[in-house]
Amino acid sequence: MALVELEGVSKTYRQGKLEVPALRGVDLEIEAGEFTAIVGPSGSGKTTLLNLIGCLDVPTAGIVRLAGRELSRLDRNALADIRREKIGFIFQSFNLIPVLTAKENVEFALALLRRNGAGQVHGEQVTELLAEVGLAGLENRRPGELSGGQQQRVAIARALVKAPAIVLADEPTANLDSENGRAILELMRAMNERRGTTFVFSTHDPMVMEYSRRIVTLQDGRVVADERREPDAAPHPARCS
Amino acid sequence: MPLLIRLAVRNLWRNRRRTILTFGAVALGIVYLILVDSLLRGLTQSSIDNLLDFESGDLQIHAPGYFDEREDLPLEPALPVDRLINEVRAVAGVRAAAPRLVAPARLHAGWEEFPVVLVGIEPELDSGTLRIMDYVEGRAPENGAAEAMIGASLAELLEIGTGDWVVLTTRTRDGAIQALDVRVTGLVRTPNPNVNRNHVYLPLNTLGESLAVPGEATVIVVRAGAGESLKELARRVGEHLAAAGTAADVYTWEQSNAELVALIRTETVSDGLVIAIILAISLVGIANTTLLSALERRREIGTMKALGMREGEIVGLFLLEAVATGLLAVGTGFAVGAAANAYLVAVGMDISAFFGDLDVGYPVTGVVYGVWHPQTFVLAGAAGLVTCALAAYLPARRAARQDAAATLRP
Amino acid sequence: MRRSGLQNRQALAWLSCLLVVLSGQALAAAGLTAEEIIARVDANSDVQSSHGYSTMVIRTGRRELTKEMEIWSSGDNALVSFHNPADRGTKYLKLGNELWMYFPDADDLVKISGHMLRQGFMGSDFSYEDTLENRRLTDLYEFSLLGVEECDESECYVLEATARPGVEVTYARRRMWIDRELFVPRREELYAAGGRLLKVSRVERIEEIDGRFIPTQVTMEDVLRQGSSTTLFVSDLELDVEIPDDLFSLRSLMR
Ligand SMILES: Nc1ncnc2c1ncn2[C@@H]1O[C@H](COP(=O)(O)OP(=O)(O)OP(=O)(O)O)[C@@H](O)[C@H]1O
Ligand SMILES: [Mg+2]
Repeated sequence: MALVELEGVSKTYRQGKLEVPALRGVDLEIEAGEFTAIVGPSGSGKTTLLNLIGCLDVPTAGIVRLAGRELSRLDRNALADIRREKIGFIFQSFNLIPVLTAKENVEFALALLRRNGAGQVHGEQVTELLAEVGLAGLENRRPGELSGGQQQRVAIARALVKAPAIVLADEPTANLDSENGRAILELMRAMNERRGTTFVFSTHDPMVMEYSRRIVTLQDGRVVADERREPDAAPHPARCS
Repeated sequence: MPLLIRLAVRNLWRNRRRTILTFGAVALGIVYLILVDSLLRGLTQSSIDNLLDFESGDLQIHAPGYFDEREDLPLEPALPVDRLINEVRAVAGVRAAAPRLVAPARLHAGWEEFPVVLVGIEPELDSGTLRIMDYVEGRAPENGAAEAMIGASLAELLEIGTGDWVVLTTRTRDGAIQALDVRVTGLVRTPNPNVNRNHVYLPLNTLGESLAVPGEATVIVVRAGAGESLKELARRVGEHLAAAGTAADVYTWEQSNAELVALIRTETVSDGLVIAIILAISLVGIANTTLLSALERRREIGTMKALGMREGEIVGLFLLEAVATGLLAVGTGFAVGAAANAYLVAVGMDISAFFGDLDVGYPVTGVVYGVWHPQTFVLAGAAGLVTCALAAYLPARRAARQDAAATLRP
Repeated sequence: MRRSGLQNRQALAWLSCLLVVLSGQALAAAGLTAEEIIARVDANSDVQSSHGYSTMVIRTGRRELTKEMEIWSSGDNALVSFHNPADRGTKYLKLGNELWMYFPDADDLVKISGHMLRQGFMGSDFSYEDTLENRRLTDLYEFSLLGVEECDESECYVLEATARPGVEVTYARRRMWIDRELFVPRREELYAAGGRLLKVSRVERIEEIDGRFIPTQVTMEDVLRQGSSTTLFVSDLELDVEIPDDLFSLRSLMR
């Protein structure tokens, strides 16, 4: 059983009387441990697809299954529980909580997970993780005091800290310069390899493709190509800069 | 400190100015409630004290049938003083008692005349019972003499001083006009404006003889010993007098002064009004703050939802912020309210600044003192907090329900 | 008229008083007792009914008010209707022992009772109470003859009236000067229970109407109110006229 299964998924947005089809009958399976890029022109439905997988949205038609559970059967609270336990998000615009420090942002995700008295947040564990994404010594900075690349590293740590089944990253490098973008991608792939975490990310950055083992191409809400390949370059270990 | 609380506190800090405005409004409301309540209670307390100390005493004994006619101040039916006064004083729980003969009259000054209330007193007994005698400028009239002391406000209005002669007209028991030429021996300046404005005191025997009711009193005022239940004492005095073969009715001051009691009750209503106003201020302030911050933090809320926070938890976070604001306001309100109230209790406030010489129905002049009433603090605090939570709830729920996918779109 | 008003009794009662008439010729009364003098005054002032006009001038301090009225009286009943602009339409009705006032502006009918009776009638020096007295003075007072004195250039008997024991009266003592020839009072002093002078009334003009002698100008002075006095002028007085009975009713007041 694949980790993510989409069967004939369609999503149509309503804008007043206008119907905007964002996805039209997408079938897709993603296995655990995959490192998958979703590519396609602007408006092709990448974000919509990630939102459906991430339980942030529900399809107009078709079935989305995550680890075998059909999402359309679940209510809002159950969807929230799945996001909390199984899904990590990384956003194009980072979306850290501005009043919390880097460390606290990471702890926040963990606190939600362990809210039901599952134990104390391990401060050490968080610090280690931050060091692993290259933020040693910056734990107590607020997002406003960090560069874009650093903020995205915090976001990655926040996504990874709860050991999610899948990390969804919507254009994680779009707001970064190419050097920082590259570093983030390398970090993600390193994490994918080291921890076996499943990554699905969208991009229209050709550079991203170098790092991907599987590239799903969308056009007008349809999957027009799905190719598996060996990445161009041998994966570098994540640089701790 | 739990992360959620830290988050709430920092969010409040993030919008310091707005937080201060909101919490200031709520705190101000709480201070206002504490002070208004304190003054109203002080006003009530002084009113009752002034009424009891200068007009009515704790209990009033009348001849049967007098009570229903008391508004007209009739001379009949009256009580025989000599037979009753010692009987009354003999009852256990009676601290003091004094006879009074009360009659309506007109005081003539030039071509004008003023309605006044004539009060015949036995100075010796009266001074142990009511407190008029402690507030005399000059001296009390002497038994049997054509002398009087008059309320100071009345005297000032008519430009009468000690040593002046005044003419009072009233009716004898038989309805004949009686004119009394009396010399003013003293002015009465009490904290009770009714007394200062309306009362003219004559010796009981002088007045009794002039009005053809010698040896009689329309009322015997009674002071109870400390801690006595007035109802109980009234019953005991009544039974004692009945056993002694004297027909007399005994009333408590609350029965005799239904108007003031009703006024005090209205005051409780206005107290409720103050609370309502404060709640409204808090409601609007907190609702507005929550609405604004929810709007500003749409993306943040979306992120939290993506991180797996339930909608209820997000509402909880906003409530936490509102309640924290409320707690801050309650704390500040208590501190400032207590300080200001300490001042009101010690120094008081001159209410003539508000009412001037206007008679608002309270037998109080000049300075009103605040009182301590811990329940008001509890009530104000609880009202403040509950309002904050209630006001935040709706905007918070709206914010939490927003579609996360939409708010997170770049 | 059954009632025994001395002409200058305060009041509208006074009013009837004003309308009271002597039987005519002044008897050269010599050696009369106080009771006989009063009986003569009473007996000679027997008017069944009357109709006339009156002007009341009220002086208080520096102010002076003038009120115009039309008066009907019959027995113990009287109706007064005001005509001066400020009070036009205001009516006063005396029905036996009861007093009613009608104020057209407020369309308000008020029964004057209790404490209100002690106030001045329309702000004058006559009290409402004064206008109510129906009983014979001889029922209320004991009279004694103090002597004969010159009063307003006439010879007058001086009578003193003292309240009879157990009888409720407004003025405990009165002193009256009765014209020896006309048997019309020319002056009266009203005293408080303690003996203080309260009010003085003077008859300033007496006219002969239908052979009777009627006071047509009376001034009442309230001694306790400095500078306050009320003068009543009576004109066009008709005596023993026909007056429909239903004139003295609450319904006629509202008309
Ligand atoms: N909330 C919405 N209401 C209406 N239309 C929407 C909404 N969200 C997305 N769409 C439309 O759905 C289509 C797919 O959008 P989507 O954001 O998934 O594309 P994308 O591939 O992520 O584009 P980009 O590369 O620009 O991010 C677009 O035509 C978009 O305009
Ligand atoms: Mg997109």
